Amino acid sequence: MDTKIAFEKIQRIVRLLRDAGELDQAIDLCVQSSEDYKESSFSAIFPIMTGDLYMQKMEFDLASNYYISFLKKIKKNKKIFSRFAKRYYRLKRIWSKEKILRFAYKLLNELQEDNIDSEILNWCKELIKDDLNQIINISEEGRKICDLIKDDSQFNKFVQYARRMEKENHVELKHFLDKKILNRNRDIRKFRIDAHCISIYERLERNHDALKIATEILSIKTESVVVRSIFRICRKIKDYTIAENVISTYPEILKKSDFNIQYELVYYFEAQDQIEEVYGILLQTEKSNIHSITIQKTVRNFYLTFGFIDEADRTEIRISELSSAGKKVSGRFYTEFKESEAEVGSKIKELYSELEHQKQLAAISDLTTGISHELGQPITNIRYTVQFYYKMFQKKFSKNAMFEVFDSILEETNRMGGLIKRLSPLTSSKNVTMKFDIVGRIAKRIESESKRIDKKYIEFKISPKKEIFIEGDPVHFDQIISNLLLNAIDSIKQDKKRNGNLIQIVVNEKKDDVNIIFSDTGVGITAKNRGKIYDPFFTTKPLGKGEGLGLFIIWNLMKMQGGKIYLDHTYTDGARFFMRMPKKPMYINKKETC
Amino acid sequence: MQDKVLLVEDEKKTGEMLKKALESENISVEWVLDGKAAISKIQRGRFDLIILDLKLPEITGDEVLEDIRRIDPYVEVIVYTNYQNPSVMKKLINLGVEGYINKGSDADLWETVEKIKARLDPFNEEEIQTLTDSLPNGFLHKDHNKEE
Repeated sequence: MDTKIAFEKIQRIVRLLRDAGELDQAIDLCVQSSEDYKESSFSAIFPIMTGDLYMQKMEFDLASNYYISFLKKIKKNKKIFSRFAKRYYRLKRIWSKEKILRFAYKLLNELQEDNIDSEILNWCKELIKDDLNQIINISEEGRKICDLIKDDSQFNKFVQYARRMEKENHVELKHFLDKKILNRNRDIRKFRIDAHCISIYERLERNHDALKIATEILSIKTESVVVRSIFRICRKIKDYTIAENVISTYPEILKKSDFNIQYELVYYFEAQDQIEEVYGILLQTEKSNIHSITIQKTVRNFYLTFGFIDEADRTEIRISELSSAGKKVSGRFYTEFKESEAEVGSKIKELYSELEHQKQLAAISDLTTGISHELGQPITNIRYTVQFYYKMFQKKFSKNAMFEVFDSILEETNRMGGLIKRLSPLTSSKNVTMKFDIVGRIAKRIESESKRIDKKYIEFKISPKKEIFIEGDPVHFDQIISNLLLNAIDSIKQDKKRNGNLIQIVVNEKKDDVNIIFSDTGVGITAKNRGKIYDPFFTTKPLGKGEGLGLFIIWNLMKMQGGKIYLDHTYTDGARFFMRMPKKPMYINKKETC
Repeated sequence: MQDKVLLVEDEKKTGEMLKKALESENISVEWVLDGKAAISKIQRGRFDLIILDLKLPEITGDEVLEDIRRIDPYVEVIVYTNYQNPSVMKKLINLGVEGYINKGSDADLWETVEKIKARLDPFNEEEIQTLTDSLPNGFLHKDHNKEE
């Protein structure tokens, strides 16, 4: 019979026996089959099954022995190894520290005696390293390296050994670095070795540990390469918090005309949305490296990426001069050049993808995903609640629990109804057009929204104090102003630094349209979020506090009226919006909105 | 020997019902509402299974999974959501998600509980399937004659 079929049959019988509570019989069958099929490649499965059955019998010592024999039989395959790892953790939760230490020791010994595949052995060492720091054998390399790390005098030798270990035995290298380098005191005599370990940690994808060492040695010497590593890692992990701390502690690094740092600063200021700073850095880099064609080309690529076309042209001229003088792109900073070139390519792609059409498609998809999630969630809540109590009530009925079910259904349907009501301004077919005084309506909205808050808490200013008329849908206008007011009030409440507590609305009448400037002194909108504020269901408010529809609705209502809304990027004391509305409405077909 | 599950779910009712239902089946459940709380709970080997909602406030499910894998490369993770984004799903598969449970509006609580129980059973079909699939069908050249 085909071994695989035979094996599956046995496996089914074992499960049936187990489910019937006949654990001993199931174990007997497994042990017997293991003997019968010991030459089959499936034989690894029987010991793990036997182990699991012993676990169920709470005979953990026996179980653990079978797990070791499972490990001895497997081929190197991380997925299979993870089966062992899970069981090891299970034993760890059950056993005391000493007991697991003894097991780990035994495991390691048996595997080494059995000449098991070195990779599986490495996985095992990694798995048990927390339990068993002391008994991992230090290899010849490891011992040599210990002598080398005392100071920088044998730095080159250290690099050589570390490189070899990284290639051949990175598990031990990791272990070694964690123990000997990661937490040691920093001083100038060991500076180069520690700095080198930053890049090793980076390659081992231990970015946070790399940053730890980098920030620590920076206090000894602010070396450019270290600064650069910090910025590069921050860029990789998309979190510049540590880099920001470095800048505030060592502001002088911003002034260094070192390409290593300048290159990363470009990315840093881009992430901060400080394009003027980006420009400044590029200009400085361009001027201080006029003889390097690699750097000039890199700078040109950056200019193109950020849309500084004249500057790119100017650099281009210098590049052709340099290349006719026989200079080539190579050597130092070649990688930086390549990376910046890739950026230009991706920028072009990005511009294409920003086409209006695609944006609209994306918005529709966001909206449908959002709505199906927002409605699907309360439905799931109701179903789960009913399904749970349905079963419970069959055992025992409780009046209180019944009311709990009713309450939850009412609450969830209320939530669903709320969403539909919230979106109704965009879907209702009634469009009223009439002449109304916008200053008066704004004042009324302020009055009704401020009823809900302490008036002393927030100050409202509206100017000018005269009537300004436009034609349009006054209900839509009210919704726009109310949504803005609600956002502004929440934002001021959220602001712990207390920039102030002012909401200011200024209306300017022009020939064909009116401009409204709406500003608050709240927390403002971070550079990262600026592009997303009009997306449906995008919110930064705490869970359950905002559904993320306010600005989406405003944007659509403005568009329906033929107006526009912009966020003022330069305003930093809170948020400021500019709105332009035509005095006579130019209604836009609803299909075009959203 | 109780199984230990970490449930990461921001919806209060869904989380509460699933926790109660699993507990009624003698499974120990720790329930957290967001990714940050999940990461603070995870330690190597502490849980048998993590049930992870993808749509979470602040840190999203796929980011949480990256952190989980950094801390515990071996813990089993199943994604639990009604929200599918192809690029996110691809990333999740690369990060080693073992399964997927739908909690869309047609979800059934007790079916979900059964699926989770099946995951926790070491003799579950999928576990056995993975083991057999990854071993070649045939005979070993080397005689492993070291049975207990």
